[in-house]
Amino acid sequence: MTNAPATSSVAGPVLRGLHNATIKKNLAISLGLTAIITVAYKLMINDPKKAAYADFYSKYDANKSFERMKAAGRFQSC
Amino acid sequence: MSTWANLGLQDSASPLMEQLIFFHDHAFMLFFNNYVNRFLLHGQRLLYLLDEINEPSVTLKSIGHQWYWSYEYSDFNNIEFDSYMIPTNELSTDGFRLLDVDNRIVLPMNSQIRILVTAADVIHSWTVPALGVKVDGTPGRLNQTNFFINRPGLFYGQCSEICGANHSFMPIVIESVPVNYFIKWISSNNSSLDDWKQVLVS
Repeated sequence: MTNAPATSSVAGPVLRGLHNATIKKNLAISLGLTAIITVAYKLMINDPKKAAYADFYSKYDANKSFERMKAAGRFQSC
Repeated sequence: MSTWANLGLQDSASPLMEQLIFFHDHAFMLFFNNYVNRFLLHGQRLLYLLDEINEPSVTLKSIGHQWYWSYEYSDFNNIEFDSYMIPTNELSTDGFRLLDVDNRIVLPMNSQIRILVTAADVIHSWTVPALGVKVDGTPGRLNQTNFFINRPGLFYGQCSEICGANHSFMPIVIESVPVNYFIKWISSNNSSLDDWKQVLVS
């Protein structure tokens, strides 16, 4: 009895409005995560892909590409 | 063409397919977003673009059979040929298994192309993912669509409507070449490759 550990106080259970409070917290987290993922997806996937296509076609020489493929014997017709 | 490394859509060879890829990414991004309605106009614009009337310079007719495709270029010289898959045991070492065919479709690049698809027996579907084209071929019906190829090369597709035992073994290969080479090819093919039609032409 003399060696019993000191007790620390624990917060009491929430008796009213727990459901609403939980929902508000979860909503805040989900909206936040959604916003972050949406922006990250746009910045890391959508925009780089558009830039890659624009870059590819800005430097693209269709005839040079064709001549390279033809020289490698890829075509049946020529 | 498809490889085992593919995770998403194939790289496009058509401006409309390029826009479809961007829209797909856009829609996927909005999948994570709760407020989508006003952003779907982007997709509607594309939907209308896909139905634009434009003046095709070449018309290709594609007829699905069990289990091969036959093609007709009636604009010039009435060129017709069948296109069978090259069986795996006859495939060269640099060939693509279940994708390569004996006679490829040759089309000019940077030109509007009209395709009319039908079938002779059961429903087939003519597909080339890189061009964003998938058209069902139904017996007794002609389905029409347009596409535009913006670079040279080989583009592969496979029949996309279950049509029997060898549904997986009737692929499509398009050879996209500059217009002058296309014209040369057309002029050099002034007879049909079908044996019995050789007799008729001569």
